[in-house]
Amino acid sequence: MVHETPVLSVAGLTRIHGRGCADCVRLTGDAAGRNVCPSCGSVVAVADISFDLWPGEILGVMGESGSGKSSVVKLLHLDDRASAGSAWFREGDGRRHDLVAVDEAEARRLRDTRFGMVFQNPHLGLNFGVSAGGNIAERLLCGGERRFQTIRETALGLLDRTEVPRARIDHQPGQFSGGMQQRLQIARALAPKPELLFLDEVTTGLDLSVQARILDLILEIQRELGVAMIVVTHDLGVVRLLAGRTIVLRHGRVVEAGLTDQILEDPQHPYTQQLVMSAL
Amino acid sequence: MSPASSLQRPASSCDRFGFLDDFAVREMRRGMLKALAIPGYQVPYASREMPIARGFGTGGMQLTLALAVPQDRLKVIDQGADDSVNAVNLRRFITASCPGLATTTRTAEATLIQTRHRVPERQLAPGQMMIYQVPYPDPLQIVEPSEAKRRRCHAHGDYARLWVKLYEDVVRFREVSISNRYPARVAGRYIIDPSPIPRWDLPKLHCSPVAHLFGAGREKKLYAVPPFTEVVPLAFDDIPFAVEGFRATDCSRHACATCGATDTFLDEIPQVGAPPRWLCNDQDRCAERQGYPDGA
Amino acid sequence: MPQSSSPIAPALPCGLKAQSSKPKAGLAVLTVSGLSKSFTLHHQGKSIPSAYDASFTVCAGQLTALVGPSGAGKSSVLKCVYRTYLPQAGSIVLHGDTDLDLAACDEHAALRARRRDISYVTQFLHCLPRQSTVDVVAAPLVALGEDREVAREAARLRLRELDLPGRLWDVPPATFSGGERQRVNLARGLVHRPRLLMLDEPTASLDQRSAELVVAAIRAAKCDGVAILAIFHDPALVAALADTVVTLKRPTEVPCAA
Repeated sequence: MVHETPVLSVAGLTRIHGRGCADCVRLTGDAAGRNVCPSCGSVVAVADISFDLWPGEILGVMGESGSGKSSVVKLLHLDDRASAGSAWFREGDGRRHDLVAVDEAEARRLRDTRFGMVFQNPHLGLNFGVSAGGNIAERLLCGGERRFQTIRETALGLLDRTEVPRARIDHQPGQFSGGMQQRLQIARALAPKPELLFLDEVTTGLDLSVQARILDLILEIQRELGVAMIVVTHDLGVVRLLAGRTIVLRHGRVVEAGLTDQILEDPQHPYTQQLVMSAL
Repeated sequence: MSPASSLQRPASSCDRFGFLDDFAVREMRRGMLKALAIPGYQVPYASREMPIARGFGTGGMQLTLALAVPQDRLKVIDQGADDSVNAVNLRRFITASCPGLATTTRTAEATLIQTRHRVPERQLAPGQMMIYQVPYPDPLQIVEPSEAKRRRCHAHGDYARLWVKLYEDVVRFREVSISNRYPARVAGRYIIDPSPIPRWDLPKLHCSPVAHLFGAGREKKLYAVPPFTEVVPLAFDDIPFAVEGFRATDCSRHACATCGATDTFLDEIPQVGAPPRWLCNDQDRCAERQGYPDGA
Repeated sequence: MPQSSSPIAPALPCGLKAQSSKPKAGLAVLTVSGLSKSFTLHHQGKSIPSAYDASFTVCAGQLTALVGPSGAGKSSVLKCVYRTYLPQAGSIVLHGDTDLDLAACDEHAALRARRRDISYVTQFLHCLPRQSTVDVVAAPLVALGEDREVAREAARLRLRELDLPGRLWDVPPATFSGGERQRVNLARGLVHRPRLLMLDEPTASLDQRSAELVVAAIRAAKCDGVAILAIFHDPALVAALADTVVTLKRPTEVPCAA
């Protein structure tokens, strides 16, 4: 058995908005039932988040709005900086980076070439002022590609893979349906062959049939490209279908972690039990 | 005269040579040194009120006034012409405020050349200096409205969106449609807006023996291409940068109707009931080729 | 709650092949001892016991049948072995080069065991929409890093063994009859030659011919050296197929201590 090492090892990840105090973490969280520190008024978005992500694995991050799931993604995607903790990311070439401590230039390089992000709102993930092809091209250009033909062919290949008709390559994303915008976002995210993909509520608000196609696409990408993914959602069906393992967040803390089917069928924490029961 | 010697101003500060006060001159010169030291970097400066409106060349004029010394010989052009209204007015103001400063229209004789929209055709030589009037100093302005974000992009060397603009151009027009202000990378680092010079002029900046100083008065920015510095136009590897061809329908190259030159940037002059005439845009170059018939 | 036979497992890097050598018959593959499972329902403040003190061994090439009254926790035991349920007490040791206690191992080890060693086949077939039957069956091999075409060929072989008509191979199983689906399910459970196969009422509500085909496939798997842990609704099947019969007793409901 080959012993692999995680793509991502997160330990004690904490983000406090505000000046913070010595009691912030102790006075907030699931047991306290709040994430605003009663002592100093700081908001503890997430605290003490720890998990591993293995190559090719899809990890589900579940929780209600305000539970801190999007905060975790922002910290890992380097859109925000943690107050404490560590998050070691291992690049394909074996180099390791602590995402909590990388400098701006390295953060940019990782975001541009190693990570991919798909947002719930396509306006966050796409540039609506340029064509579909231009959106994909931007990521390739960020990575240093300077051959027009190569960019064009790669973009067409990505549109094929995400089932966006080739003929739409020069159209602006504003002319696309919601499902197609999401697929274009995925194509754009995949352009630099990322090693870590973040999917933040990607199917929320889409028709069921459109949702199914996107989930299907995500699994196909995982099967064929072996990209590790973090899938943030409040939809139990989505984690059941996509994620091998899941963590459940509440008040900025991990309240439960385990195999996804175990969490859905034999939840241990009162909150997860309530979440699962109210969904079924 | 070397550019360094032109930093010698008349000794008496109360002479008020060159309109600007000494404090402004020092600030401009410090800014220029910084701009030369960091090729292509946009140095902010306190653009002074000038007796002409901003947007009419105040950036270039402030650079000229801060640099000029009585030993200099100044040439001012606007679109290749020494006698257009704009060039004449700027020249008149500069000479009036810089007593003893000589002017010329001949590129070869000038030590300072202030220009709007053109680089002289004649090969420049050490001892000369180019000063550009710049309306928009930031090449990223077309893709990013926020200056704060543009500065971050420059700092990170993040020019992807500029490249996307090129991509979109090629998709739409099968070539890069930028006719002037063509973005170029200086010394492998910063990308500049070379002011609205045509693509034709851009290669003249590459490893040029003279310093090229850019001043944007309204936008309060200075930047520079030092002598012998790489200036590479942004282009895809497989779609090379190309200058204007001035080709006729039979693919032959148009020639200047006056001097016959086929190696200059030409203006198309429409004619009533006849095919258009093509003339050198650089008047001095055209006159030089004809042996200065007017004795100018 | 229905349980899919295999949630989508993360892909392994290439080079990891399913075991192909036939395990030695009679060798213990799984040893369960003192297994107890109860559900603590925090909001109702009670604990519902499901299985109590179950102990048994499953050997290669043999079938161990779990029997007992409804509510004795037969399915719970299977789900504990599959790590869908977390047991309160006991150990679930999967024997191999190194023994793995599925009740205590980390999640990645459990996922690895699911991918390589354990198949779990219920009466329900869960699969992705739009996936052809051949790809559904080939999925466990693809997850192990097998080449897609090689995996498909192995899948076709299994489907042929289970006598599924060839015209059905390239369409998704969504529209299949119960008997056809169950055969697809079993084919998928066997395609990567797991060491342990768990069956939860594999012949429930099947027509006679389908049931016969499934029984034949179970026999073939036994001959192949697969260790089988099964729940049958039909006592006749237990008599016909089981090498060992384990009887589970219904635990009594106790109020939550807290």
